[in-house]
Amino acid sequence: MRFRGSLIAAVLAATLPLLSARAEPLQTVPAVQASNATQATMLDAVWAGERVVAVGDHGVVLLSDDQGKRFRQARSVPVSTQLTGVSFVDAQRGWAVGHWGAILATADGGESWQIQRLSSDVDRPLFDVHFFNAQQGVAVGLWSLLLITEDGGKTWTEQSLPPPPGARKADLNLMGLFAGSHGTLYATAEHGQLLHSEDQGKSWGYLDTGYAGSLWSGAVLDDGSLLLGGQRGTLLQGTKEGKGWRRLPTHGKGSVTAMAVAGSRVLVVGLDGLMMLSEDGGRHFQEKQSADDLSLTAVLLDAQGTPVLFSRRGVMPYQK
Amino acid sequence: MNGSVKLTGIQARGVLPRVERVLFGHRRLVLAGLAVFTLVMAWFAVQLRMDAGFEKQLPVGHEYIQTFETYRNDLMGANRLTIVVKARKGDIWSAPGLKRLYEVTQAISFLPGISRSSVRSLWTPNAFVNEITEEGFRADPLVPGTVSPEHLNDQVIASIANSTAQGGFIGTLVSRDQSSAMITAELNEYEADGTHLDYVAFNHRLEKELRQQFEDGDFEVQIIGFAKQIGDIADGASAVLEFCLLALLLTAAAVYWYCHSLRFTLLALVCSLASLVWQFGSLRLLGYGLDPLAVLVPFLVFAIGVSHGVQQINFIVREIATGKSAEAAARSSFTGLLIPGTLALVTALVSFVTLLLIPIPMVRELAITASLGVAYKIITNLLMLPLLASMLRVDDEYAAAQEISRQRRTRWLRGLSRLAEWRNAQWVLGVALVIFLVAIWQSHDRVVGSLQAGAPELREDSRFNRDAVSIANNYDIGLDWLSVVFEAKPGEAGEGVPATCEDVAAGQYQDRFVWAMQGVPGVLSVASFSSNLRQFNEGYNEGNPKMAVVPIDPMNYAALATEVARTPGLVRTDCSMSAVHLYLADHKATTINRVVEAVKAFRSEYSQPGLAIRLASGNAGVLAAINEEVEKSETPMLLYVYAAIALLVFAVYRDLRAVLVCCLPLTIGTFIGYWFMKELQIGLTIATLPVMVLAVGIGVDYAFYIYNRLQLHLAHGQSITKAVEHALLEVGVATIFTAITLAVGVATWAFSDLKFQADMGKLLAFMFIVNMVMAMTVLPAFAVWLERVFPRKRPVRMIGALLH
Repeated sequence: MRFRGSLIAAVLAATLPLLSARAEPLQTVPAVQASNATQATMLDAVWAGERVVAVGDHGVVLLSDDQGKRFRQARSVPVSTQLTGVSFVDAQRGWAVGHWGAILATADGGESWQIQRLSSDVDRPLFDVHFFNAQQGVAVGLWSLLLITEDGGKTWTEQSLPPPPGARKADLNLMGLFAGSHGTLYATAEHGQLLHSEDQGKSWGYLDTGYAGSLWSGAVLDDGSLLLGGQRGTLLQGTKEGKGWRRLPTHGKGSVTAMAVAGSRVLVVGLDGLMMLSEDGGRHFQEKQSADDLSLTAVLLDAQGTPVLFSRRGVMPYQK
Repeated sequence: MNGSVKLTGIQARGVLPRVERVLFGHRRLVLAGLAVFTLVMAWFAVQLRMDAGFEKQLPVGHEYIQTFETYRNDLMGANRLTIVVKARKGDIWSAPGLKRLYEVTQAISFLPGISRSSVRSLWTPNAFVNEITEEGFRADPLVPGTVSPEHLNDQVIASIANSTAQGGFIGTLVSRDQSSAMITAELNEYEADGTHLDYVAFNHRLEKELRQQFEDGDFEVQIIGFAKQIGDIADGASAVLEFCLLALLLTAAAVYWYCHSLRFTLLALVCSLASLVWQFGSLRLLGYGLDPLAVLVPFLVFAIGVSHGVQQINFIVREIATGKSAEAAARSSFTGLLIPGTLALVTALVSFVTLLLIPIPMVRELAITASLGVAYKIITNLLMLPLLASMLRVDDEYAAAQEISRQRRTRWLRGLSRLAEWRNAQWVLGVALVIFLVAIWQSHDRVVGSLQAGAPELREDSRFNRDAVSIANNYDIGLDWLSVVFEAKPGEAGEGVPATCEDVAAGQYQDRFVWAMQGVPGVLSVASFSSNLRQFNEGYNEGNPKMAVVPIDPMNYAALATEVARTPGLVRTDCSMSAVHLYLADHKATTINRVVEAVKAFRSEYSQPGLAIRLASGNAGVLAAINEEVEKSETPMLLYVYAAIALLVFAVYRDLRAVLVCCLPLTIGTFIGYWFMKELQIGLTIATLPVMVLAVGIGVDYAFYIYNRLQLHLAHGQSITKAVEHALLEVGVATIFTAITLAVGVATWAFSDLKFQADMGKLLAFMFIVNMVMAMTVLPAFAVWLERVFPRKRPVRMIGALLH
């Protein structure tokens, strides 16, 4: 993966910290209430009880109380930078992460948010967040940035990772998080690596899928097996132990951005209109394309298996 | 005739008779002098050429135009040419299609005035694709340098099509349905050696060397841009001559029908044409050309001339009918009409001079030439015409026939003159008041600027506008865009402040601005420095949408800025300027204003130290500046015209009643005109503003001629009702006749190929009639009402100004 400019800068910033000193630190600006909020790119969405909470570009947080038919913008979000991940433990309490290393928390179902962490002096974005309960949570991001909390986000601790097999230091980008049934947390990463932790993020091990590219998303299927999404239409399936990885045949060439599981129904979406649906717990997938080849960026399935889709252009019209 | 008053006796001692004696005494000498002058001017007039310019349409000193001027080399200019090569069947991805595109690209590059480095198409090296590969990010030209148009095979074409799609050029360089490809180029109005581009000739070359050469049964060549637009307008404007000839013939026929004399008919036309010749000659002497957008003005001036000519002939014929010789009749016409005529023409002159208030060079040019034309009218119509008339011979038979015809015509005017009776006057004023109020109410929220897509000057079904709509429908670029400039304020970069290309706060600021603008109704899409940074950052990071942000790491930011700078029109290489291009749904003033307001609101709500947001370039920026100037100037202009009328009338008649009587019908007429504009969706533009202002100037003629007679009769002790009746009987026919003749003449413009001309024609015709109706009904009724409400303490005096 080529975080080229950033990488050079980070090396320089580490060796010559004085050089990166800015005359004026970047100021955060609260997200504006926008008439076109539902057209902002949405990058992650979760259920908060009966409510859909989606986060995305420009600090836009969208809420829906009718399973995704209509959305409104959250009342108060203290940042206007891109939000990339969101996690809720119940209908009220949730966390969102994003660029500038931002971590926000809400206690009112996503209506208003407070800053828990922000670091704009280094360009190290967070890409996903997961909370096990109201106290314990994990956030991941660029160059193996791994943060954990034991107190509901009041304090966040940077956790160092062991280097991946064959490497000298841990610098893989951690792109996504998903939880297994027995408290296992998985983090998808570059170079086909899948990280897993059994102790709420304190210690991690690597699982090599054998895939060369980056894994952006993943999910645990109905039968406990793992499904991972990679670049250019790559879809990998492995056992619940993270072994026996095989590549599912796909025609679409869009990188997989998100997937949702509801019983035996599995919906995988990606860039350039990639859409794959399975009705048999992930054994067989049927491919379709979204209209205009629009890049899909987040997906949810409700209890009936009806999808709620988000794209580069925001909320997708409700589909039956 | 009845009630006609002989004035010659009492005027013997004034200034006017002395002038009359001198002029008429040496009439051969004077006329010979005028003839020589006309010949000299004619020699210059025939050298006059059509001449258009983009620069002279720009309001001088306007904030937006200053931005446009400052950054014209960095931004996509408003003076851009867009050419589309469209396959009539199938898509553009064929060997002949790409070859044709290559040929057209080459042909454009070698046209004069084209900035060669700005030419962009699939075939130019400045169109490259940024590809995300396993090795990273690579920029390749869309068509590899090794490919020649002669050796295109399916494989090469497929790979070009592929990289075009990958590079995101579908919708910019290739249409969305892939049936056509686009070439864009910037035009320089001035060559390096300072010579001015001849748009008319350039347009002919476009037609000949591009369209005729490369358009055939297989491919269509669509061309839009200012040069094409103004060229097409100029071509359409040459058809104006035909319309004007038609108007001339109609006028001639009408004048003949009116006076039954070939000599008088020719007299009126010759005098009007003489001043036209002088005007064209002066234009040439001043170094101006005939601007296609202002081509109607000389003919407006001509129309004014005919109107005064008819009044003169009316006077002369009336005098002849009472038994005078032609010379005596001409002399009394001269003295009798010099004052109202001068008043009327000076008012028209003032109307044109007020156009100088608009700081747009083209309008100022128009103001100067039109004022000159009107000034010449004073000589040709008030002096030359009676002088010439005095040399004609008229027999008694003609006089007798005229008297009979006059009696017949004025019979029905008696009915009209009854409106001046008190009881009827009340009704007339009541109705007028209601119409006035309705007109004020209805004309609220008039349209400023133009409404239709493409070139508002041309008709909707013109080739240019069809091309424009086709291009707008098939490409992502809109026809209307507003460019907002983010300028690093100089002088604030002290120590400790990062160099501008590392000023990541600037990128964040612009990013927020872009998001704010995307929500403004009327903004279709946005192309900007910051959105390109996002795109590049995403591209460098596997195309992951979670990395589609403006980076905040200074070195990464600067590196990406350098890459963005390779695309023209987005950022200066030193990052001292970056741009946001807002593509708009249309160029209605309301749309542009809304967007401009949104920009200003953002600018005042969120300021960024060291950065200035500057409005505005792009065609919408230029239009916004023009609209603002036009809208801002309209009221003061009309006020000046009214003030001039009031002042002149007061100076001559020394009576406030006269001022009111002359101005009120005009005001009602003006507002009815606004109502008409709104109903017909005619916007207030550079083309229609002069019409409205001038309509007042011409409309007042009728009032002057009628009021002049009214005053005369009152001075002779007649009651107001009688005076009104006599005044209407004497000049009523001439006034109605003039208005209808002029209206019919300009109404023919409604069939013109040029939309703005058709609009002007309709509006002018309407205004001629409305002002006439107002002068014939409201004016007398109002005069009666004023006399009754404010009775005079002293008797009416003779017209004072020039008599004693």
